[in-house]
Amino acid sequence: MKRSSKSETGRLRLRRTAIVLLALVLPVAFAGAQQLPRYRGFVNDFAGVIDGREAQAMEQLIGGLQEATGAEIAVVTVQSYEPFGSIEEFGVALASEWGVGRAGEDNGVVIILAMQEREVRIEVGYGLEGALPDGRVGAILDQQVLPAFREGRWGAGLNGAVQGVAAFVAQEYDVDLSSLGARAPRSTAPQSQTGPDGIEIILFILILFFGGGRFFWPLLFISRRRGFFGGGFGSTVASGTRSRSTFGGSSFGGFSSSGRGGFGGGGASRRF
Amino acid sequence: MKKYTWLIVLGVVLLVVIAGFSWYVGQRNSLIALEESVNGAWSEVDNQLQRRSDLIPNLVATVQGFATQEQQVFSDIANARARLAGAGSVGETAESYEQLQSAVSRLLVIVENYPELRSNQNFMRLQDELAGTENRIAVARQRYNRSVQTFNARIRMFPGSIFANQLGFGAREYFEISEAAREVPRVQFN
Repeated sequence: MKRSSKSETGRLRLRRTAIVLLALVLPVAFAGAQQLPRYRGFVNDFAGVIDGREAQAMEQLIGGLQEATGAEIAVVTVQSYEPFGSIEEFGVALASEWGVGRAGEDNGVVIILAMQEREVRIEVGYGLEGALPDGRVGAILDQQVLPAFREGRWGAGLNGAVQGVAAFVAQEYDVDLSSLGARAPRSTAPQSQTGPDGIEIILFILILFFGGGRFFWPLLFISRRRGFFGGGFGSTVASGTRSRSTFGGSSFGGFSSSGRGGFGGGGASRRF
Repeated sequence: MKKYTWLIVLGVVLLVVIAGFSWYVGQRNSLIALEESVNGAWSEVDNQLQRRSDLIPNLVATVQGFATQEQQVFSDIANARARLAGAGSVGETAESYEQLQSAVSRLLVIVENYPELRSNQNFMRLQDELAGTENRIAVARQRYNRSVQTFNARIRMFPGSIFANQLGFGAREYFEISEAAREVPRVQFN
């Protein structure tokens, strides 16, 4: 469509027909898109559940992260994600509409909290799927978000999510998060104090002691070879690049050509 | 005087021919671009299906450690996986994907009976990867179907319909799955 540069009368007429057709079809096709809230900033507290100090802490950390790495995080709270069928659908639609992250790098993350449905999701852009494989995102949710949510501390839980995501992104870009000077208070997440390496070691120990180490020794090697755990136990950098080129690479041309970060549905969700 | 008339007629005919030809080239190129976008979207679906299929041995190995007597499900899964790998057309792929889906969801039902497996960290990560891949397939599927819709509409509507047949562009198949298979398995740990 874009390639043909000839502007003959026929093409013009065709284009006009296409525009007319589009005008007829668009309002129907994008009825869902109109339901999406407008982007306000790093923290979009549409549900009004985050207190000012928490919001400020998150904004500082996200701002620092963006300055250092270019990666971007958006935090969103909504009362309900209706009319979308699931938080996953809402997540992809919102993240693509807002275009969180840089074009070409697709390095955006959107953290969504839906109050009525009691669901939380971390939506990961193509470019960060290596740093944030779904399993790791699930672990962030389980350890740094849900404990606070269960006590109704929404801001603290979201802050935990931002901290966890930021820690992994900083690691991917080889940036020291503590040097950003925008460290958020760590009221909820003891794990995040030790950083990503700490989480990995703790998970490793948990599996050894509680998960029946005998069964899982062989599995560890399988997973490392295939890289499905995002190298949780092996080298993070190697598997990061690998999975990015395997899973995100083909989409760079396709979906991020809109000039904004692309999302393909990566991430994890939880009900609480 | 007559000479000029002929020249004008010739010029007009030439112009019309050139205009027609470049219009034709433009049509053809845009059809090719559209078809390529369908192919691109399909390769993303294929990519994610492959990833999904690759996750399954890990899942099976993990569950097998706990649930050794559930051989039926394991062989169902292996069969469905082999069928998916061998699927040729879009319809075949969709069908074998559904079969794999139903075998895996049976496995996940079995998992319910093994609390120590459900609370296993490794299994939890695996479940997340699985759910995430499901979701990626859903997104890729939707984008593929959208691009098929654009392409099919174009080759069936005038004027695209004139060239489509002659140039060998056929309507592409949608990736359709039943409502049941559309459900993304949800991870819920408490």
